[in-house]
Amino acid sequence: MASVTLKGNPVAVGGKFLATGDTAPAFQLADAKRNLVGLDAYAGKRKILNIFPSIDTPTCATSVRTFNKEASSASNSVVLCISADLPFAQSRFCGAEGLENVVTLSTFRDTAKFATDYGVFITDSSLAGLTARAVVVLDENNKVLHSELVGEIADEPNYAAALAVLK
Amino acid sequence: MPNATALLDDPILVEDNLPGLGQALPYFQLVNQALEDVSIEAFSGQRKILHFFPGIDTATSANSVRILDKLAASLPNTALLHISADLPFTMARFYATENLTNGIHLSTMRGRDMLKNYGVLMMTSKLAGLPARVLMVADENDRVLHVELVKELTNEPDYEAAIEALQG
Repeated sequence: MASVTLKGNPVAVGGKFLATGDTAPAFQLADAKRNLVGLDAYAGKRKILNIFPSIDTPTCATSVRTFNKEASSASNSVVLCISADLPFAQSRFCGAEGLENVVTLSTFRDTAKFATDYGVFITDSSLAGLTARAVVVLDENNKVLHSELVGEIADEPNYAAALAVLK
Repeated sequence: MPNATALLDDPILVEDNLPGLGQALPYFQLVNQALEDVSIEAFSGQRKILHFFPGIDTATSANSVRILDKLAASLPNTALLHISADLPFTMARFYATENLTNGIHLSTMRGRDMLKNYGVLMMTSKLAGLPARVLMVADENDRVLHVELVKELTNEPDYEAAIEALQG
């Protein structure tokens, strides 16, 4: 059980957050067309998992835009933006913003399972039930190259550190 | 036999314990726009229109929220509750661009027990885990006056029938 803060107040985060060298667990998440996809859908690619509470909040939206912009510079990699938002809401956002370098995936079928497996499950506070803000970078074999559980949910992740491990 | 709805004719199974007429609404706890837990007790003594829908960012659901908002304006002592798995942040974005005054949204973001207990949870298809499109009406003692499980998700519910149940 880890702990982060939301505007200074402590927030409990359930599950064990991934560390460098760990192998990422399998997942089944819903893409924009509501089809279930797993890590194997991106086999052979390096992956940036951009995990956050909701696309309809300013910090999360900024992180998606930033990774969308930077993603093209990292070869053979894909950015997966993951939240409990419905695929309808994720699609609306990416469509309105013209974001084409990121994939959005929704945990709506079973948020607790994904969030617990990845150690990002917010279990108390007003955000209980959602995923915390985190970035996990995986190599072609789904080994963790970099991970950051953002200490203050209102802050943005360290984009440079995540992208640096792919350069 | 579970209930069923459909999306463009593809059948979808729905949890089979939709309350019948005269039954009492089960207890629920959901999350309001301010991310606070809200239970059925917050609406004690009020008549209720429960509007379940799959997602606000689809045309039919958004339209139903708008139409019910207008219809509810003339109904005294009636709580209009829009219920979906949309996050409160998404609903805040929706409400910011609409001029709606009568309903409140409650999110299943902390769990979908309520959808099971109310018999509105879709169990199969790509939409499994979301509420089906359902209109449920109850009196001030939480006795069910009207229930409609919409059989095709692209269709709107029968608003008139729901409102009549409150005027009868």
